[in-house]
Amino acid sequence: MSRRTVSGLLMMFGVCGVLAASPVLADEVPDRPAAPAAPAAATKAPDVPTAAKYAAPGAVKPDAEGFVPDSRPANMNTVDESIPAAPLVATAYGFIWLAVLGFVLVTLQRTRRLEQEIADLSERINNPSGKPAGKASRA
Amino acid sequence: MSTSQRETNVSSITVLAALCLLAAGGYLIVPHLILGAPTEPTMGFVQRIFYFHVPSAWLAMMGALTAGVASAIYLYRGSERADEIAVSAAELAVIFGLCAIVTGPLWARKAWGVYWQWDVRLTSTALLWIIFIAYLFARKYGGPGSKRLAAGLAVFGAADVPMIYISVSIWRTIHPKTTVVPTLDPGMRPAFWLSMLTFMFMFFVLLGMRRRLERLRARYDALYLEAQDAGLIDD
Amino acid sequence: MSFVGQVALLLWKDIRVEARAGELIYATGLFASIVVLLFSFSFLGGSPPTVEVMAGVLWVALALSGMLGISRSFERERESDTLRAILLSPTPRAALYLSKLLSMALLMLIVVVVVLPGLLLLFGMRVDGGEAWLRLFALLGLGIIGFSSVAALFGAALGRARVREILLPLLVYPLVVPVLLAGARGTYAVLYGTPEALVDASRWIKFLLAFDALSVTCGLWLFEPLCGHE
Repeated sequence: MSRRTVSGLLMMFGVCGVLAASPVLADEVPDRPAAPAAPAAATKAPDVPTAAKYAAPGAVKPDAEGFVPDSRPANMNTVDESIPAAPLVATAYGFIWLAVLGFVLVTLQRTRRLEQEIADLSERINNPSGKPAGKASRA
Repeated sequence: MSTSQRETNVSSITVLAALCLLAAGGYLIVPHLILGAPTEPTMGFVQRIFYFHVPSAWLAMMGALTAGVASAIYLYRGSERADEIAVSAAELAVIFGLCAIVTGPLWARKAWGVYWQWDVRLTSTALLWIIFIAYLFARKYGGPGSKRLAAGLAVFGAADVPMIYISVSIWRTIHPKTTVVPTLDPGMRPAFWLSMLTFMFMFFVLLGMRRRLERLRARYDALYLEAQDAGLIDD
Repeated sequence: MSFVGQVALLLWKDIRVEARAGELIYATGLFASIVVLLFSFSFLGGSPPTVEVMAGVLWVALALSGMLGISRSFERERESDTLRAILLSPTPRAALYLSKLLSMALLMLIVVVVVLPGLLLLFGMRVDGGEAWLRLFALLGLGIIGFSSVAALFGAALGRARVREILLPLLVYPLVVPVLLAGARGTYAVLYGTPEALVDASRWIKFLLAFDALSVTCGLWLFEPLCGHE
């Protein structure tokens, strides 16, 4: 069997696999009738479900399009008002600046160092006489 | 340095400079737009993080996809240029992934009450980030053949990206769906899309810079070998 | 010789080598039982363990022990340089990859044989009904294949890397997280046992199927570029 045949077969297998996992063939992706409530607090007995995922409906109502979330702690319906928003937004924005600037500075520094080493090495190659052979460092 | 190399340097520097200016302009203008956009009713002011959280996440995924495709090209065609692009894109995927992973929980703390939640999109994004950190690690410590090894990892990792994107539609999770963006309030759209554009310019600028570093390194390696051959270096 | 015949021959070679030495099976099996014991010490001190804990322990024990066994298996191949010898022969790379995948899978099956009874006995795990057992085996089977597909690729590819002992887990674990995730969540659903839960488990089985298809295909495509250039 040629490699191409094997690859072709496996590609088909792959496509089938992806289709199998997709909503087209899956019959249980649309709204689950049971409604989940709070997920695990880890210390419950084995026969009581830790995520009340499979419990009788009632804890969280599905929204307008029947969407019932897979994972959601109990208090997620309301925004936490006790924390001021502005510092969070400012921190987030500031962090992005820091990350990008940090990357730019580090890259510039490495580039400059490398250019210097290239210049040194070119110099030594072009003027081989009069300079003792020494170890050139690898960047 | 040959003439053609010098010319290439000049033209690519011009392009980089132009992108840089655009990105800088974007960074100055966009905050005003963000502050001017209408406040989202349920989440309030903290929702503004969305304007840079979403672009960061998208660019992390774009970096990952680029690295994956470039790695595949490197593995099959042996193109060194593709490898340069791959490592640069991988580093950017890590950087922007870090931005997304930091800004997301800051937003979540207020909007959801918790910093993190194990839903599919967050898990896949964290996974993508870790995979590309492993990529950089493999390149540094993999020994001979580390480039190929890392490239293999990147191809696998890039396959994670579509999974992230479609995960939200297949699994009903708490994370806002992908379809949120097309249905944005019209007042928010200019801010969002301009922010997205600025981030993309930034991405290409950083990619260009990082690629230049890789090309310099390749040149240095070639020179080093030349020097070794000429007996100038006792190694 | 046909393709399947070549895979079978290579696999049989691995099995015979192991049957003669025995080191890998016993060491991996022992390690797996130690891991289960460690987990039982950690979790069984106070209140009875939850179903989620059991599901998690199963898959983490599988991952840890599997990695140990696979790592050692490739180490042994490297010591006797058999991989390079096979690569030099005209065997199709795909056959080599698949045979490695299957031999790793067999090794992990040994781990399952040790860990599953350990959980049933020490943790009081209960699986109710034939349907649940069927799903559990499907999860385990597909999970093992997914894990082995990634590990076989990178185990063979690591070659002479300086820090390969730490590098193999670092490369393989992030990529097999979806397997562990689906396996653990699916196992939790199976252990929970209600009809809706079993439907949920089927969903995770389909996910594993998709992942396995993807990773085996990727592995087949990547095996030649990564390992064929020794």
